[in-house]
Parts: sequence; C-alpha cells; structure tokens
Amino acid sequence: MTMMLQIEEVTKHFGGLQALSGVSISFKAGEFVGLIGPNGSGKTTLINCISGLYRPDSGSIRFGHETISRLPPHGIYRLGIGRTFQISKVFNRLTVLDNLRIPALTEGKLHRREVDGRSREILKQIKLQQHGSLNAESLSGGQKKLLELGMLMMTDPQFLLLDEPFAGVHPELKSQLEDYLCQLNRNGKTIILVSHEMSSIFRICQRLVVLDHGVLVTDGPPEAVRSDERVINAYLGGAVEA
Amino acid sequence: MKGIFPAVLLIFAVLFPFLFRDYWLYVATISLYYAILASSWSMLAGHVGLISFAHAAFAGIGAYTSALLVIHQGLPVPVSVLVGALVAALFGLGIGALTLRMRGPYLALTTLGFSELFRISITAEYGLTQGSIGLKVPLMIEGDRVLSYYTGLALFVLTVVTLTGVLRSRVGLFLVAMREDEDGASTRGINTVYYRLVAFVLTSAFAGLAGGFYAHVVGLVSPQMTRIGEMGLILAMSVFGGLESLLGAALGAIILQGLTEYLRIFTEWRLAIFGALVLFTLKLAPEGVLPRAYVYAERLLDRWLGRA
Repeated sequence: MTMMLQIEEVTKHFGGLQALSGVSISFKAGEFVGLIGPNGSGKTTLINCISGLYRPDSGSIRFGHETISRLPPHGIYRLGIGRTFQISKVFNRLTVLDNLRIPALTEGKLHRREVDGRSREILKQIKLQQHGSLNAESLSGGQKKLLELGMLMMTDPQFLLLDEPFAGVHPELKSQLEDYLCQLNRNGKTIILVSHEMSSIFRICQRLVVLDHGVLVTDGPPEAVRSDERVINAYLGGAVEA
Repeated sequence: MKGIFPAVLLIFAVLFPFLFRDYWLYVATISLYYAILASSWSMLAGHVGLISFAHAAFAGIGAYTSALLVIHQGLPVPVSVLVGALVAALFGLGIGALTLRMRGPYLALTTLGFSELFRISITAEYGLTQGSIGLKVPLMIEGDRVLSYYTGLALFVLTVVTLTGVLRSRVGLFLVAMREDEDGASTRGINTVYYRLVAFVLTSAFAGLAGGFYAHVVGLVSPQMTRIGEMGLILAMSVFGGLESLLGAALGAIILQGLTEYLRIFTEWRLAIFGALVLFTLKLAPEGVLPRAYVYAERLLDRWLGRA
C-alpha cells in the first residue's frame, strides 16, 4: 500500500497548553485507523491540523506528494480529505437537501440537476428522506451526525476524518453505521476514526493510534494496543473492554 | 401571494408620480437612495453576517467621485455615476482584502475607522471638496423630478434583482452556509475569504451607485452624508424592515425616510426615536417588523379567502 498521509513532528500549542508535541504518524491508502486517547489528549487538534482549521506551530503534514500544512481548509478538502465534527457543524437554517448540495456545488464538477439527483440518493442512504425539505436545525443530534456523513459522501473524498460519528446515534443505527463505514473502507476509502465507543473501535479498526497529552503513546494493531501497559495506564486506567 | 406583493409595490411605485408631485415625489426619490443602501447593507449583515459601518462612506465615495468627474472632467452623469460605483467597489476590495481574513469584530472596527477617516479627509480637503460647506453638483436630467424619480426606481430595481439573483444562486447558498458555520463551510470546500470579499465588493458597489445618484438628485454633496449618524439611519432602516429580506429592508428605508419628514419638529431627537425603534424591533420582532407584518397579512388573507 502507498503512503497517503504523513504527519511529521507536528506541534501545536494554545497559550500555555501544549496540545500536540512532535507527533509523527503515517497513514497508508486504504487503512481504517482508530485514533483514541483520553479527553484533551489532542485527537481533535490533530484532525483540525490535518483538515486545515489549525496551522501547526511546527512540523509538516503531507498528503501524497503535497505539503498541506499551510493550505486553507477548502484547499485541503479539494485534495480529497473530508471530515466530520465532534459537535456537528451542519448549516442549521438551510434545508437538509441544501446541506447535502453545498459540498458538491463547491466542487463545481456536476451540473445542478446532477447535484440534486445525487443529494436525493444520499438522503435515502442516510435514511433522512422524510426530512429533505426541513431545516437542519429540526434534526436530532444523531440525525445531524448522519447528515454530516452524507455531506461527506456527496463528493466522494478518498480520505475521511471522522470525529465521534457514533455520538448520539441510536444503537440500532450505530451498528448499521459501522457496517457502512466498513463498506466504505472496503471500497477503498482511507478512514481515521476518533471515537470513545471502544467496542466499535475494536470491532472495525485495523490499526489504533493512541495519543495522550499531545504525545503519541503507541501505534499498532488493536490486539497489541489493548494489552499495552502505557495505554492502560494513560487512557483506560484498567483493562480494555471490547 | 409571494410574487403578488412585490408586483403590487412595483405598480404603486411606477404610478407614484401620477399621484404625488413636487415635495413628496422628491421625498420618494431620496427614499429610493436609502432603499438601495438599506437593501444592500441587509444582504451583507443579514445573509453574510458581516457588519460594516462604511456603507454610508461608500455612498460618499460614489457621490464625490461622480461629482468631481462631472465638474472637472465634464463626464456625462450616467458614466460618472457608474465610475463612482466602480471606485466604491475598489475601496471595498482594498478594505475587504485587509480585513476579511480575520474573524469577529475586525471588519466592524476597520470600517468604522475608515468611515471617519474618509469623512475627515473630505472635510479637510477644502480645495477639492469645499469641506463641510459641501460641493455643488450638476443635477441629473436637468433637475426633472419625475425622470429623476424613475431613474432612482430603475437603480433600486436593478439592486434588488441583482442581489436577489446572487442570493438565489449557489453563491447565495455558500454565503448563508458561511454565516451559519464558518468552519463547517470551509471544510466543505467553500473559499470563505473569497466569497465574503465578493459580497463585500458587490454591496460596496451598490452603495457607491446610490451615492452617485443621490449627488445628482440633491445637487450637493457634503461630509454630512458619511457621518456615523447616517450609518445609524441605514442600520435602523435595515433592522426595522428585516435584515434577511432585501425588499423588507428597502421598505423599512422608505417608511423611515417618510417618517423623518413627519418628525422634523423633533430635530436631532429623530435619531433617538429611530434608535428606540431598532431596540423594540430587535426585542419584539427580530426578523424585522415588515416580514412579521407580512406573515400576519398573509394569514388574514388566507382566512378571508377561506371564508369567501
């Protein structure tokens, strides 16, 4: 597998808080990686650095052959890196369908009619067909998570950064969502998944990266990480429940 | 119902010179100047979420540019008014390029500073602008009030149609998305700085256009038109009429400008009355008095038609 994303010695601080300290990780094309760590360990900061919302203080992030650590978020998105947010960032006062249309319209590759067709197709896939013409603010927290995923699918990015996609999602829907993510991965998408849902993480991820206090603690297959003393001490404070 | 309301308004506006002459026709013409300013400012504030305090200053740039070009270069009024709009757009581009990368109150503060800088500069530059006395400007269409009114109406329709067209296009969707969530918009591919700049330059151009028109209707441009009180008036008109409705903001401008004539006896207290009006509007009908009234009128009509 070819190297898709390379994070080298990335550092980020906010005032006196060191959110990331010299983090280096590489992701290969087609991987399904779980990014875990206790609250405040730097997971979302790392995702924000990759997606361009934060500029690293030092270090570099490369996507393919291109250095992206100085690119604006829309430039990074256009290279094929899409993301969702821990607290959903949907456009509340636009309709669900308009929310879906926006990412495809920014690309400008499809005609408006094709965008409309695709948005209706995605709407069915995320099971929100009853809500298409309603404003996104009327959706529940879980439905907003699904809408974010739908928005991501509108333009088919190759690299997905999913920040807590299961939070607030109904348990039944959660297992369908897990299956859906696995299917996306089988179809060639590279996925980095941030989640506190350990059972999901251990079930679907092929590799785990653990952060604590902005430092990379360990990186390896789930079985090895589960029994890693540093992880148990830093993150779980006991045995990992799968 | 939605299409009927603007159509009825337009018919009334077209017939206005047959119903009212002289003084009220002149008041209506000035109202159209404010209507262009209020509707373009409401697009910026209500749809894009950008608070600029330089809208009156951009109108001043359009007015002075057009006036000076007619006086010193002998350009025809329509050409000079268009150049005025272009110069206002260029100033908008400069200020926008400096400030629109930043978030929060920077645009508001920078535009406030720019507005005062511009007012002080034109007051101080007496040789060119006649300072606070004001610059006498040739009237358009030899001062024909009816034709001046129709020119204003045409410019107003052009403003509303253009801005509505932009808002209904994909650009309009992006602008609202940016207002709703900036990070969400940028990580879905929207170049937020670029589209904010587009909206800022466009609305600055319409403010400049309105200013040029005003100069050749009133026949005098002075620093008074760029003072912060004028900006407050535009803000009051937009909030009263409805920040998220171009037509509502324009109607707000026309109503408040008409009201200004009745409130002349209160002199400067008029502005305090308008300030109170803004506070009450924000408290009782934050979407604007006119959109609220429109909803009530629609309900009443439906009920009436249902019973008929």
